[in-house]
Amino acid sequence: MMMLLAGVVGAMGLVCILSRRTMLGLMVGVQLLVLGATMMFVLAGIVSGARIEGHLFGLLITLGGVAQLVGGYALAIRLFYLKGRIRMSELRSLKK
Amino acid sequence: MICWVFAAITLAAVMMATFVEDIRRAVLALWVAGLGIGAVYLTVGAETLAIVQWIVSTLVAISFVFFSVMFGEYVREVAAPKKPADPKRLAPLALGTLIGLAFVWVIWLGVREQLDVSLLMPVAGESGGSVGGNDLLALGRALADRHLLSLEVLALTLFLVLVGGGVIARPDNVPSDENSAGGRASS
Repeated sequence: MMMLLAGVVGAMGLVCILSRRTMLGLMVGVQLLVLGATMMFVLAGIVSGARIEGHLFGLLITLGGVAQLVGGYALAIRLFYLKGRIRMSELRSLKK
Repeated sequence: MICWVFAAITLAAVMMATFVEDIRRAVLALWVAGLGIGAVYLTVGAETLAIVQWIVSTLVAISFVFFSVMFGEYVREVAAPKKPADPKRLAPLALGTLIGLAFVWVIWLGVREQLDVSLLMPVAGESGGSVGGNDLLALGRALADRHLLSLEVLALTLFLVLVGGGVIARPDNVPSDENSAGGRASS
């Protein structure tokens, strides 16, 4: 059941990513997805007997989530600097 | 039993973070979800990870509040008038829910016959001390001996994100101090 909870957390992150229209809403969804993945690794490590590996990969995924957050913030700041507002439809303009 | 209480709190917070319109409440719910998951870690004997999770969740929530205030999303979503349900908005929500349910179903298929609740209880050593994932010495040894490449990849990723974030978020032309002050005053 605990693993199901991890699955639900990840699934809700996916729902959040698909349904929200704002940059921060999107990042909230990604954070939920990262939380679910971390929890899944930790619980899978516990039930499979590889407790340390589960903890280590949970730690690495958590820190990877922080890196993703910083990247998202950097893109948001750049877009805000160029356009004065943040719209998801305008993210492609950063490629130019 | 307390484990399930934390699980219920986490589930409620995750639902709120996903479906609530107001970004302020969504961020608060995300913070509560992070704390709840940390509490679940605590109850299954992963104290180290629980502390890391609490610290990271709190910092993430604070940064979300700072940035949402800076970008104006904090105010805009609160002030947005109530609109009738838009089919264009409901479609991705329904699609996401379906994909999420399929995701949960796949996980359920994988784990339904392997879980043993007794495995989720905290593990104590013979002397009463912590073992396994809570043994920092064992964690450090495993990290340095068997997973050094993962650690180095993560370190490199964080370094690149730090430098890349600074480059992406730079101003186009870096003016001198006088021009900068004048430009800010004129804008």
